[in-house]
Amino acid sequence: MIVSNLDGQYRRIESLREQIATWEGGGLPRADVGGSPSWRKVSALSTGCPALDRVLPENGFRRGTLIEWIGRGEGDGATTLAFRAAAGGAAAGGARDGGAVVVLDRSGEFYPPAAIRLGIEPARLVVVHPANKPDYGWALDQALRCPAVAAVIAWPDSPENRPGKKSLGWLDSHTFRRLQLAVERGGGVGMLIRPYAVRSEPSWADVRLLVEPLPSVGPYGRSRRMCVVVLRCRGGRGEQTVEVEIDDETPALPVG
Amino acid sequence: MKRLLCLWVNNLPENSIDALKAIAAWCKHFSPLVGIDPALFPQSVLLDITNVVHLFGSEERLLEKVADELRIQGWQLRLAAASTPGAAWALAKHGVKEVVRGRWPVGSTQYPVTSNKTSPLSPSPLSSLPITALRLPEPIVVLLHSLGVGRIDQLEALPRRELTSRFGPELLDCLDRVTGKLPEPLPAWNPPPRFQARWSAEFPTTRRETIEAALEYLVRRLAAMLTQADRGAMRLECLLTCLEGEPLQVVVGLFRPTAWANHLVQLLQVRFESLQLPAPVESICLEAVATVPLELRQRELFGEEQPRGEVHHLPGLIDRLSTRLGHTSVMRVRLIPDAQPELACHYVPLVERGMRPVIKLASKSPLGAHLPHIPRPLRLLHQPVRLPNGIEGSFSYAGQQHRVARHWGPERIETGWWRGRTVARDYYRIETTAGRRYWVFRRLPTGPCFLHGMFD
Repeated sequence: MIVSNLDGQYRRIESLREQIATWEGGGLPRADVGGSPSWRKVSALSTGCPALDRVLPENGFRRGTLIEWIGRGEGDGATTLAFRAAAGGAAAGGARDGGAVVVLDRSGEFYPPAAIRLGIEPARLVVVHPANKPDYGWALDQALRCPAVAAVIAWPDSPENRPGKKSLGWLDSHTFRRLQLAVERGGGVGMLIRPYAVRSEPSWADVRLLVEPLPSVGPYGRSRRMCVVVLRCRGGRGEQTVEVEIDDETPALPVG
Repeated sequence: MKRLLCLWVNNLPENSIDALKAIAAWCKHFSPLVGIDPALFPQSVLLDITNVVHLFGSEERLLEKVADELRIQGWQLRLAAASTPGAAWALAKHGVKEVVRGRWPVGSTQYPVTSNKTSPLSPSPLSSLPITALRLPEPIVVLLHSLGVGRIDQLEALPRRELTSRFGPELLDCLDRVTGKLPEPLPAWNPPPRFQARWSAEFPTTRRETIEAALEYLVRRLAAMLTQADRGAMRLECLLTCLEGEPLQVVVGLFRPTAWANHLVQLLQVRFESLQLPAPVESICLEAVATVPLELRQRELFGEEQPRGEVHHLPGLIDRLSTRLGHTSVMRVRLIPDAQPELACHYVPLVERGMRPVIKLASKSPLGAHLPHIPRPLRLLHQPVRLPNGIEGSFSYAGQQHRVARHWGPERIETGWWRGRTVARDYYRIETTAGRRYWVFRRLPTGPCFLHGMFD
């Protein structure tokens, strides 16, 4: 008796959650976007960290969405986590196998060997160096819109990503919305790495994550620890905090 | 009756097939069928003039015209017409005594024109030529010379049946090809097609809409030409002639060849958005300066001739990005097995200045080979930043004090003396008490410390 009652409650919660998802327009195929593009049927993209996967609905990032990684400044590990997730998206993914990873690097300080160590195949890596702000926005939009791109990694706020300079915070709401529409067309995942200052600004991203570095433990400290706070997640369960541990020492080589 | 004209070029640059091709292309004015083959007919261009003679009055007039016009271009020629390619070549090479320099005497009998009525045995212009005119293999020429046979009529005087047994079948074949008993085809050559479209304004204009419409019209025409030839453009050149000043040139390079008009229009529009017109535009000339054969692919039966499959989206993106941002801003990565971190990775433009299509992003190389074994930072500073107080216990960077909690290392990196400035560094990975990770090095042997990167 009690068991069936619990079961009914569970089902009710699930149906309510589905309704919310339908209203919010994500996840389920919609009629107004021209049928259901093939990428919508593909499962979510794993974050590369099982602990983080567990707290996200659908156990990962939805395709065709923007993900915000809010970091704590230099050396915090937010970019590392973004690249790990992007590597998983480019390598696996069934029908979308062979997607490119586009890095929009404006400062010119991005160091590709590190990304390749995190599992991004060199053959799929495209590095773009836009020279100025309008070009950066345009290139980001183009890359997100392209169906052959599995993931885009961008630093939309920090054109002068140097210590001491205040973030220009130019990713305004209009541009943000446009980027979100672009990624919905393309079906990849847009990783936006943003500074701590924007954590309370409005967002069009599907998931907003705050990454805080943690000191490593153990005698050798082989694994790197970070605290990831899910600040916002559509269809999720409110703010949640997980501790993430990643192995920094072993290069992630793609299978085969 | 076949008539062939041979131009033997006296002042051809060494091994210059290009010059020969240029002459051949120019000779298309006179005959639809032009042939070159540097191995079979060295230093010469052959024209089939069988049914074109009446257009110029007579054969002599035609020869005169060809000789005159090529002489103006600076070529020294000997010309001859005959009924086989071999005979024409033999007469052009060996028949005319002096190289034609001045004006050809009109109506003179110097043209070694053989009529097809001359039988091989009757005295013909060919008879008095040396046997080398038959393009014989070297050993046979030597053998014939040692036997005292130096001219063609001497050879023809010998009994045919015995020639084969003494010299092999090749000698008679060569002779018969020249006299026409054996057929010899003209090695036909066609100039590569040019894909060019022009538009000129009735009234020079600066109106963007007009220019863009004209451009689209030109691209569609060009695309139709390309599609018909089954070729794709690798590089487009657009020349805008303005009322004043130098003509503007817009060059668009492509990542993958295409003949798809919409894509080409898009790329040109991206470039035109940022183009300043100094004066009203008079005319536009669009040319696909580099083309390659298109791979076969399925096209849509109805609607747009758009390439199918999602794979084609990436080349489109790369083309658009390279066109607007410049080809050195859109790159792939090549790992170099170099110990020095700054040099371990090269950027290679995806759209190359050269006209070679880059089909794959990168070749499949064993990935592990060039990969460093020890973690590398995602952000590497352009210039290492000197840390004045060293890294013992704490360091300050960008106005902030960081306390070192852990460190890993050293990873010693030394480069050879043969590379000029020797680099000798001990790299450490540092974790601060806040958990941030940095990459620092100490210049060896006991030099100052530098911050080189962050594990962002």
